[in-house]
Amino acid sequence: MKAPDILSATDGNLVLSLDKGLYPLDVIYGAAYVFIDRAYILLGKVDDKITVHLTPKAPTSRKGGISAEDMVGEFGNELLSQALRKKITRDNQQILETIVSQALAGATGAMVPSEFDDDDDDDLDFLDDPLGIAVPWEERFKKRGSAPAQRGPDTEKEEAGPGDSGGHNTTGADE
Amino acid sequence: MSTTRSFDKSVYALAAVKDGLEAYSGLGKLSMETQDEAWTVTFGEVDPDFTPDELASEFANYVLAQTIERRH
Repeated sequence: MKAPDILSATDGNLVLSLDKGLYPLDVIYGAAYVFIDRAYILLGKVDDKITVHLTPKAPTSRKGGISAEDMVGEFGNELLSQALRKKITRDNQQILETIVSQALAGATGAMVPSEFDDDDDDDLDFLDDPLGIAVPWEERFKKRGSAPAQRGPDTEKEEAGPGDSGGHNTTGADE
Repeated sequence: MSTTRSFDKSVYALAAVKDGLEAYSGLGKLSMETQDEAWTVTFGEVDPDFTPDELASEFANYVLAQTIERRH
């Protein structure tokens, strides 16, 4: 991309000329907006070119503040940055619109994902247990037939029922 | 002592210039002339705390910012 042409540079006042074909007006607006706190900016138009009058607010000098040449360089960089930003936005326009439209549609309830749209169990009561989750372990895995289970080292002397924690017997029945 | 600034019609928004005239009216006598391709604002009887050039430059920045905010 071609650097901005410096038409004049007197007493820190710079006049740049930008080709509208290379730098669209939106790009120039963006760069000017970034510099608006550091410089006085006046845009103009001569034929097919946009002129930019840049006057730094702080005095320009080689030792202290930014020099006029530096400001032109920074302005050129900002123009390039804005042009790239514009290109990226344009390239991703369709993706952005898709994301926003889906977000808006979701917020209004217009689009419900298919997995949440399953109405097969609409007639179930909250006490129904089609998967058998509420069935006690003993009932589900009870050995069929009457043969007693073989005792192992971890088995208790008496058959423990559900809820029997095997704690202290307060009735004194074992004594 | 007065100074002027011209705002090209293809670059600046008229509403932004009018906003600037209203916002800066307390700092001087501002008047606008409409020409074929630009609006020209004249800054006269400027507040003694500023030079006419300072006021005109600040005004131009304000109008530019207003234009950009309106067009984006």
